[in-house]
Amino acid sequence: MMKPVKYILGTLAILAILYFSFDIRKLNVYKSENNLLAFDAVLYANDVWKNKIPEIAGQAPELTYLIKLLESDPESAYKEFGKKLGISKTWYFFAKGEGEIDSAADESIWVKIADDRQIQLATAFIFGNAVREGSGVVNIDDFINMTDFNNVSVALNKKVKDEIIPALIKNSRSGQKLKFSGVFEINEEKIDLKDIRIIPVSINFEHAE
Amino acid sequence: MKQTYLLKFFLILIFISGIVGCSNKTKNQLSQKMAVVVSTLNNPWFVVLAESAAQRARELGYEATIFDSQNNSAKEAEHFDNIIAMGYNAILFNPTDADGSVLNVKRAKEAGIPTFCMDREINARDAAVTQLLSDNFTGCVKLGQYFVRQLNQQGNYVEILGLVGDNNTWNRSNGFHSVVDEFPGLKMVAQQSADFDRNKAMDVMETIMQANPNIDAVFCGNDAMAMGAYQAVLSAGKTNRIKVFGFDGADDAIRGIAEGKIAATVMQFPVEMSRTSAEMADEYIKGKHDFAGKTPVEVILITPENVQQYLPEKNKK
Repeated sequence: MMKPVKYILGTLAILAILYFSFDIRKLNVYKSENNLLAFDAVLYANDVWKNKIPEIAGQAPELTYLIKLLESDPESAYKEFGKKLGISKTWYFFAKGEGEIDSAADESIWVKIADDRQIQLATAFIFGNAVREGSGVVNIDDFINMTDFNNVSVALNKKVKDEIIPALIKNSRSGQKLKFSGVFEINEEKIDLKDIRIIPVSINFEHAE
Repeated sequence: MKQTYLLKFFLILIFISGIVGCSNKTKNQLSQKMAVVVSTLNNPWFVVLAESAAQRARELGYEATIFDSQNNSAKEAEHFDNIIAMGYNAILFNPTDADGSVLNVKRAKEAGIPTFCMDREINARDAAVTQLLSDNFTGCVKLGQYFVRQLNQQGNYVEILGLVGDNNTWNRSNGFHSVVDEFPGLKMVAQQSADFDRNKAMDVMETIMQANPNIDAVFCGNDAMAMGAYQAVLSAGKTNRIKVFGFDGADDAIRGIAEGKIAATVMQFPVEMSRTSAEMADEYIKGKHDFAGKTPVEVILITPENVQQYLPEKNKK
């Protein structure tokens, strides 16, 4: 009488082990669950753009001060305000400034700023990592691969193109006064401060349309 | 009796000191070893990468051996088995596959052997000590902008991809497309892989040209493929129409730019990358353990405007 009981208990135990060893789900459910874990560069960039960039822009150095520092003591400018990615000779700077629109070109708008200087605010060819690196808040080691990291740049550049550039082009009349913040890059081997091209991340027009 | 005990005592002492002395000598004679595992030696660019890494390791006092994975993940796994069994001190690693190579690096880590990735990344944050990588994406953003301007924002083009399992392939492609796709006048008529191989690229380009007679440009994921594609363009007699763009900064491509055969390339720095990786491995072995997970290395766009300063002959002086 004991033997059948043993067999039944043994079989039940084996069935229980087998039952808890498998997890059967529909393939589409499994895939959608895993996609939820995939990195969303647009979501990440939206957070940086909305919650971090305004604060960084507010704390950025004045452009005219930064240009003078780059002229007189570039090493201090790199150390105090510059950001760079890995082993590189390209430095990214976040700066804010104000001025008056001089003229519009194919890919940028020339703006007169203090000290008889002119800079360009980019209106086209907004590519690369300037916004991401200039912000200084996106850490490469937080990403599993370079693709995800680079997609953040693409998404941030899209924010600039969608939210900043249209208004800049619309108000690009000669004499229009404006305040701006943005990012530019400098190659330490050939510092060219006469041709600074800023990718704008915020623009405020005086009496804009 | 007392003398016999003393003699025995001294003999044992001499025997033990002899053993200790011998073992110390053996230990000092055994030099430390670095393994250089490279995806392929069938491409001059990777030969430079591997040999520079091995040379720097030797300069730092290590025995260095190069293992060729022949673009084969199974071969690479075999190399890691041998390296672990032979007790190497560090691995300077150029992977064959961003996902497939992760397990090998993890196995080495479990065996106490640190791995330093060179040029190609693996999709893991906690496996390799550090990964020194060319900034492929940014390089191709620069190349893409030049490409758009050279084609006056319109025309039909072909893209020849490298190995589809390699992240560099997609970082280059994504960087290029992050620019070019914004110009509706530029139409990609074909996109095909040629595995970073010159001969395959030539075949691929020949086939694509037969199906698409109106091609204005071809963007290749490396210079070997660019030279292969150029050969196909030359055979078809279309060098005046089709502009060829590459990536790597290989000697023949740089000369090709100077001679008007190639439109542009992006120069990587394999020697600096591999030497720095060997130095990092040396620092690790000597006790430094705080390395950044990934370190991109800047690349430079080479065009007819600046090619003279990057000619191989000039740089060898």
